[in-house]
Amino acid sequence: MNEQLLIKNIAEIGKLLLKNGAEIYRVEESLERMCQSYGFQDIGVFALPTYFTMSVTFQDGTSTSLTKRTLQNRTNLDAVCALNDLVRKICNETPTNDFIEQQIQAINSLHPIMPLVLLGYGLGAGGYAIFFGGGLHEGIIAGIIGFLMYFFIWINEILGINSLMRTTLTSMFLTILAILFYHFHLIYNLDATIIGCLMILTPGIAITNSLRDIIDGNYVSGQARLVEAFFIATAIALGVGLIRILLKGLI
Amino acid sequence: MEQVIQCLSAFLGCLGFAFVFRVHRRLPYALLASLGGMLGWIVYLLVIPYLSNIMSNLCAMIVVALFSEIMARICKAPATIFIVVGCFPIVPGKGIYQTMLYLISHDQDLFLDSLFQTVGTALALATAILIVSTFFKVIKTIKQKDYHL
Repeated sequence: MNEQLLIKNIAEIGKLLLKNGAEIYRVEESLERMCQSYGFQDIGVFALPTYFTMSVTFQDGTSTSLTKRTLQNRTNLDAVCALNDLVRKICNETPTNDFIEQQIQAINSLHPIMPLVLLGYGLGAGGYAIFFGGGLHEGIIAGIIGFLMYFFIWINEILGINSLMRTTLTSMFLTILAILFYHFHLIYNLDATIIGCLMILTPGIAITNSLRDIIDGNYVSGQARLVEAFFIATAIALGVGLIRILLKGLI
Repeated sequence: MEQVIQCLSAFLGCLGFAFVFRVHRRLPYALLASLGGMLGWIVYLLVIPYLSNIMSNLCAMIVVALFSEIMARICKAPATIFIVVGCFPIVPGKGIYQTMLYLISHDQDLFLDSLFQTVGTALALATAILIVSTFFKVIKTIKQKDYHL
């Protein structure tokens, strides 16, 4: 079997795992296990939230190392799950290169179902608006705002605005909308509506993943994500705060 | 009645977040993860009369994390799916908002109090994951006899 090609495919799986928001320890462990199952020696893998490097020694004694960098990581748990299944299969059955390539292609071509994403934004914001003390009005309006937030975030991503500024701008956007709806008496509980919409921006993933990384001794990655969580929270507060000061007259 | 509405809306909200995080082709997982989030909130409501806010959040998150790890083993899926979606009722979104609000209105006592609560809740969330993940790692080590004497 062509080992160079094999290691490339394995690295590609690692890159996809990282890109779709798997924890760092999962990336490292998956890569190590896959290499082990093909009988490679001296396996060294080190991953950071946007980067990993690995080096192995093949059975004929030659060694190789390669690095991958991922930009624009986006959480796609469906893909993480599919990749996890693939990794398990590779470890158990050590399939051929063609099979792995085929599977990677299949996972790459799995596009998210857009209507469900949009529904998710609406349902998430609406559900939490009610959760934090809103009524039916607040739920529906927050759902609409959440829906619009998706497009706002999308435009920001197209324009290449960095994630902190994007979070600030989005939280300003949602606060403006919520205050306008409140001003025209479509909602009665401004706080619940804003909090419901804010939940979409909150760094829940960053907090949970960073801790899971730290448990495994990946302090660098864990710390990077903790800092990210802290900055995101500050960005959210900044956006809401600014608009609440500027539009004080409308409340 | 209010509690029932909270639990149901927590479920719906979690389901929304499952879709946001692209759990599309595994709908049972999305539903299970949302159920975990709701379960966490039920626990929170049960213990809040006896414990402080931060401790209640800790208990709730421990249940969510336990549920997630167990489901991950039953479904043979990464635990992240369930934890990431299920943690949202406990994520201090309200805390961030209120802290900002008190800061703007120059209400220092309330500001410090809610800042403390927000950071505390985030730490509780983290600690709960820490406890449960460590617990399951130990079980795994014992099961695989992977320990070194």
